[in-house]
Amino acid sequence: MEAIRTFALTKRYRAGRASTVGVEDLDLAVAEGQIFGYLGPNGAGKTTTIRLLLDLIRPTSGRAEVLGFDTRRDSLAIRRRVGYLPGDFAVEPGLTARQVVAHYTGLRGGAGSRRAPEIAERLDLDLDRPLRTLSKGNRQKVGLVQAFMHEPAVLVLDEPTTGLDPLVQLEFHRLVDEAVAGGSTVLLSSHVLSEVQRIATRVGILRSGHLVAVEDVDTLRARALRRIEVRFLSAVPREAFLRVDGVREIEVDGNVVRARVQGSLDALVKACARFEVDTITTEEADLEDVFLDYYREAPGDAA
Amino acid sequence: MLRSVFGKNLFERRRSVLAWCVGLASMVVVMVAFFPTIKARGAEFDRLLADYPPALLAIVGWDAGSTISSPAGYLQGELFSMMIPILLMVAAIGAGATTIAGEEERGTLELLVAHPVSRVRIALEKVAAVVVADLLLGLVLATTLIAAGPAFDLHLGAAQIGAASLLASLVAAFFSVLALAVGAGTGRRGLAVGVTAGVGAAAYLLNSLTPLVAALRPWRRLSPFFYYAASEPLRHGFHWPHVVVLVAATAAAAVVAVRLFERRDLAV
Repeated sequence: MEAIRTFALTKRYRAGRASTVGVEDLDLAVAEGQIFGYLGPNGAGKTTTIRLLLDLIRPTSGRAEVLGFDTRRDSLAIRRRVGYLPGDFAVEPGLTARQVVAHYTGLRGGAGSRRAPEIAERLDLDLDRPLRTLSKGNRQKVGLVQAFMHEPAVLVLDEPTTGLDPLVQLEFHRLVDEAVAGGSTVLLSSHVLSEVQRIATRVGILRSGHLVAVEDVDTLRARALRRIEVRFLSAVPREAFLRVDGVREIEVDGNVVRARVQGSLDALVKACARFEVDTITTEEADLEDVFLDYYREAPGDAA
Repeated sequence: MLRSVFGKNLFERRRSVLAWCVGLASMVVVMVAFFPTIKARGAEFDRLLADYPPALLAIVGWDAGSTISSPAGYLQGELFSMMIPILLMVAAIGAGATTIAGEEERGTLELLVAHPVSRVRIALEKVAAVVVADLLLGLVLATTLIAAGPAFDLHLGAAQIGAASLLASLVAAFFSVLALAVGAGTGRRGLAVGVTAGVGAAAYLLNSLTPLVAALRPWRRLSPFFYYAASEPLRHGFHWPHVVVLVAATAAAAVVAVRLFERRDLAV
């Protein structure tokens, strides 16, 4: 079953007499238990989608469901089951983190009051300091605490790692993994791929309000070009590498071969094996290039 | 206290409400402390007042036929005609405009509305928090007058003081909920303050000028200040129909606030 589903969801914003598109004819499906990376440049419509799901704004046309509940009719049922971290999480500066957490657990009928201090401790957040004295990263931790504390069935996280240092990001990844292990679904929006690539299983790419691609991260990875450098003990002939499967770019420089390969390295490694190999250096597939291609030219978007 | 929208809003305003209470009480004590001086030279002041043009007296809310040397006349002229309504309105309009529109502009409203609390309930709890603070100021006003008056030879019944203070805080409550409603409908705090302050000033003038302009007289009952002053509470005590009108007007503003807030897109 799908945790999140939208049906030709459209939101136009009126600005004077003109109107701008937030999202248009969006058909999004996020399966239960998935970590779905929702990607797109700034202004592509990610936050618009999220705000529609939570009934903060209302669709111009189309509709959406979260956990089978209609976002307009059954918003309270949805909001009870969703943990939300807004893109620019803001809280009243006069309160301490503990007071903010007490407020939000109160609004949830006490749900999360047991787990909130545990999460705060894991994120190394001091609950007793007034929020105005906290750094941006520490304030973001307060946002994470309130999003995760009631063990929601759906987590909606808008650019969650903004301002977090790498150690806290790791802890955040653990929190996400635990939530998913417990059956939760995660919608993770970001404008940078690296933020979602490590934890998401599937990504949707949004551009100018349209969903231009939905792919498994593994599929994207298979399509990505991997850089490889092979150093031989002696010079090798260029012709030996020209018709190797998967090789997209090749450069032969005496005893060194540099190539960019799509998919499996098998054919290239076998071609190399005919000569005396010294070292092989390769990098993790770089999805950024694939991603940027989607950003630039979207099929079916002749705007 | 923090477990509800109502409680959190009051909690966050605790320092500012306390400051308003202290300020209001201090001003009232200072005003009352001058009463013996005025009373001693009462005849002179009353003669002076009789020479002022009636239009000027009307604008400042002075009842013709009242004497400044009487406790009721003194409190009316010095406090209840202008100072009290202005002070209470400033506190009320700021609070009403901030509670929805201000939080929306600061970006803190979004997460609240994403919690499992209906917008109707959020708006109503915020109305309640604002009105409670308005009434608290009225209570401080009445208590200070009742407690400090006798020390300065200013003796007036608790019913008279209570009625005038209640009406003052109800007028403030109406305008704070009006500001809240404008903010709930637009999400813009500055606009809510400006519109409500403008309407408030117009309503004040409408009520105080109508005795002078025959053509305006039928419109006088549109001004909340009519129900604040017309029953002369400092002389006659409680006049419940006017209390009911102000409560009803505040409730109507609250309904408008809820309706506007419920159907609107929250601002980013």
